[in-house]
Amino acid sequence: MATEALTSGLQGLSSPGMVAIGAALAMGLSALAGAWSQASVGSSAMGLVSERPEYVGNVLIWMALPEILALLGFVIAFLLIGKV
Amino acid sequence: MVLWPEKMVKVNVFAVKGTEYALLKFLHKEGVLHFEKGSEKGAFKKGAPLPALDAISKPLVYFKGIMDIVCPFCALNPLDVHDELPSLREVLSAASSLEPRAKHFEELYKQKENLVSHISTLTERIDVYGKMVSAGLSYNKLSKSLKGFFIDMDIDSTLFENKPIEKFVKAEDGAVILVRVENAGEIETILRDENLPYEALPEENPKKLLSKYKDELADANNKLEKVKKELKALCAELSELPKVVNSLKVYEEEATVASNSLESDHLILIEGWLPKKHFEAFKKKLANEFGKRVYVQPVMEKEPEEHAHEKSEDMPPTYIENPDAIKPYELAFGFSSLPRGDDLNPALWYALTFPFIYGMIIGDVGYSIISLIIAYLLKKAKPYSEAVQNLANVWIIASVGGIVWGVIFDEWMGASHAFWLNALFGVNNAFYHGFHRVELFTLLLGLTGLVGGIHLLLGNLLGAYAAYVHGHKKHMVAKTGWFFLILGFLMWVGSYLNVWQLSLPGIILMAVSAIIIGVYEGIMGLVELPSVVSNIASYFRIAAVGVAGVILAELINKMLFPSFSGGLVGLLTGLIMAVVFLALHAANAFIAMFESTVQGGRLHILEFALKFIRGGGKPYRPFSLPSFMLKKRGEKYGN
Repeated sequence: MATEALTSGLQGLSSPGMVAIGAALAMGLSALAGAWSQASVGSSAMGLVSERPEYVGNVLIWMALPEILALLGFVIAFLLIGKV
Repeated sequence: MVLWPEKMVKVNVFAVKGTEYALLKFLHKEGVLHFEKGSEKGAFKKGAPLPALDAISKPLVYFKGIMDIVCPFCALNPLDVHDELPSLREVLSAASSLEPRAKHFEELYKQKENLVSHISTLTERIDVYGKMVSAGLSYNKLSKSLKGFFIDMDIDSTLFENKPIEKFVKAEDGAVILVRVENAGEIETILRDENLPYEALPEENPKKLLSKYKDELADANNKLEKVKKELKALCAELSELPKVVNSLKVYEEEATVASNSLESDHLILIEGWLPKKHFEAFKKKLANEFGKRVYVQPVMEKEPEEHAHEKSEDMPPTYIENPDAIKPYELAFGFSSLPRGDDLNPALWYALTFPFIYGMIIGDVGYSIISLIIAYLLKKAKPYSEAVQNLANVWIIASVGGIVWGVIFDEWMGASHAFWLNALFGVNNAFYHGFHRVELFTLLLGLTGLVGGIHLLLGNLLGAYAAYVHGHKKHMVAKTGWFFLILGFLMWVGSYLNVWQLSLPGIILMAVSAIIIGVYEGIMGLVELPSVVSNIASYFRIAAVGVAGVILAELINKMLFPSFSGGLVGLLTGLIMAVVFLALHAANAFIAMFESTVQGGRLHILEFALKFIRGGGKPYRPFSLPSFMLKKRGEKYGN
C-alpha cells in the first residue's frame, strides 16, 4: 500500500506541471541568487571605482562572476522544459 | 618575438660626478631606460635631486596654476609642441620675463571674475525689483504699521485665505502681500513652510533701487568690457606660456629623477631596465656621447624563475611589442593584472581563441554583421579612448567568428536561411540544415563542455611549457598532471555519454594525474581537483548566453515580423513594425555583443590565462620626453 502511494507520488512529480514548476524554480531562484551576489559585488565595486576609477576594468569581470548562477539555472530550466 | 614579452636586461650606469646633468638629459632624450629606485649599497648612498630643482619648481608651480586660466581664455593649446627643447637657462629667463605679465593677467582676471559675479547679482536684483514695481503699489505711501513681502513666483491668493493679511497684489511672475507688523511672523512662517521664494520688501522704494541698480549695471558692464580688452591684449604677450611650462616640466622630471640614483664620493650610479635588443645600441651611444666618463654594464641575466620571489626591483618590467592584429587584445590586461616580464604573452592566445568563443556565443550571421557595423562606427569615432578603439578592433575581428558560427547554426537574425528566402523571395528551398541551438541544446552543452575542456588543456599545456622554459621542473610536472587530469576527465565523460568508449583509460589517467598533482602540489593540489568540473562547467555559459539570445531573436521574429498587406493602413503599419522589428534586433545584437565580450573575456582571463600567467607585472615605463615633444615618435631605437 505504502509502496503504491510512493510510486504514484513519484509519478506525480514527473508530471508536466511539476516539471514546469521545477524549471521555474531553477530559473527564478538561481536568478535571485545571482542578483543577490551581484548586488554585494556591485555596491562594493562602485565604492572602489568612485575612489579609484582606474579599477573599472578589473571590477567589470568580478561583476560578471555571479552571473554564472543565473546562467546555470537557465541551463537546468531549459533541460527540464525539454521534458515537458 | 610575440610568444614572450621582450627580454629585458637590468643595467648599472656609472658616471663620473659632474656629468649627471648631461647624462640625465641624454637618457631623457633617448627614452629607453626604465629607472629603478636603487637601494643603498657599499659606498653608494641615496642620490639627491639636481640642485636646479628649486629654481625650476617655483616658477613651474606658479605657471601651472596660471595656465588653467590663461589657456582657455586666450585659446592657447596647453600641449604646444616644441621643435627643439630650449636650454634651461633660456627657459628660466623666459619664465622670469613672463612672470610680471602673468601676475598682471591674474589680477585682471580676478577683477573680471568679480565683475561677472557683481553683474549677475545686479541682474538678479533688477529682475526682482522690476517685478515689485510691476505690482503698481505706491510704496512711498505705505503705512509704517504694515510690513510687505514679495513672493518671486506666480501664485494666487488662495494660500492666504482666512489668513491675517491686509492686501494681496499680483505682480509680473510674482506677488506682493502686505500684513500688519504684528502678524508678519505668522505669515513669514507660512511662506517658509510652503518653501516659497520670498523676501521682505526693502525699506527704500523699489523704484528708486531699480533705477540705481540699472545705472550700476551699465557701469559694471563698461568696466567688464575694458578689463576683457586688457586681458585680450595680454594674451598675445603670454603666447609663450605653454612652451615655457612644458619645458619646465621636462627639466623638473630630469631634476627629480636624479633622486632615484645612487652616489658615492666620485661616482653616480643609475639602475634601470631596457630591452635586451637595445642594449648594444644604447652602450654605443653612451660611449659616443660621454667616452670614458660614463660606463654601462648589465647587472644580471638570471633565468626568470630564479628571481620569481625576489624584490620588486629585481622583477623585469613588462614590455610586449604585439603586432597590430594582436595589440587590441592587450585590452584584457586592464581587466586583470599585467603579465610579468617573464610570463608568456597572453594577448597572442586571446587573439587565437577569443574570436572562436565570442563567435560561438553570438552564433548569428545577422547579429555578427550588426556587431561589425557597430564596431566599425565606434572605431571611426575618434574622440573615444584607446581602450574603446581596442575594443572596437576586437569586435571587428571576433565578428568573423560569429559569422562562421552563424552559418553552422543556420541563424540569420534568429531564423534559418530558408525562412528568409521564403519571406523575402518566396523561394521554398533550404540549402542545408544547420545545428539548431535550441532544439539540440543538450548536444550544444556537450559541445561547449568539450570546447572548455580543450581550452583548459591548451592553458595547462602553455603553463607546462612556460615552466619548462623557466627550468622549473616541479611546476612543469604539476601542470602536465593537470593537463592529463582534464584529458582523462573528458575521456571518461565522453564514454559516460556514449560519445566514445574510453572509460577505463580515462579513469586510469585521472588516477595517475591525481597522484602526480598530490606529490608535486601537495594537499592544496588535491583540494583543487574538483575545480576541473567547475572550470569546464563554467564554459556552459557559452550555451546558456547564446540560447538566451536566440530565444529573444525568435520571439522578435514571431511577434513583430512586419506584414504589408491590407492597403495603405497595412503598408503604414508594416513600415512602423519594420522599424520596431529592426530596432529590437539591433538592441538584441548589442546585448549579445556585450554579453559575449564579458562572458568570453571572463573565460579567457579567469579560466584560461591563469593556467599559464602569474600576473602582477609592472609596466615598462622608460624615462622619456612626453610623447607630444618627440619629433621622431615611433622610430626604431638604435636606427
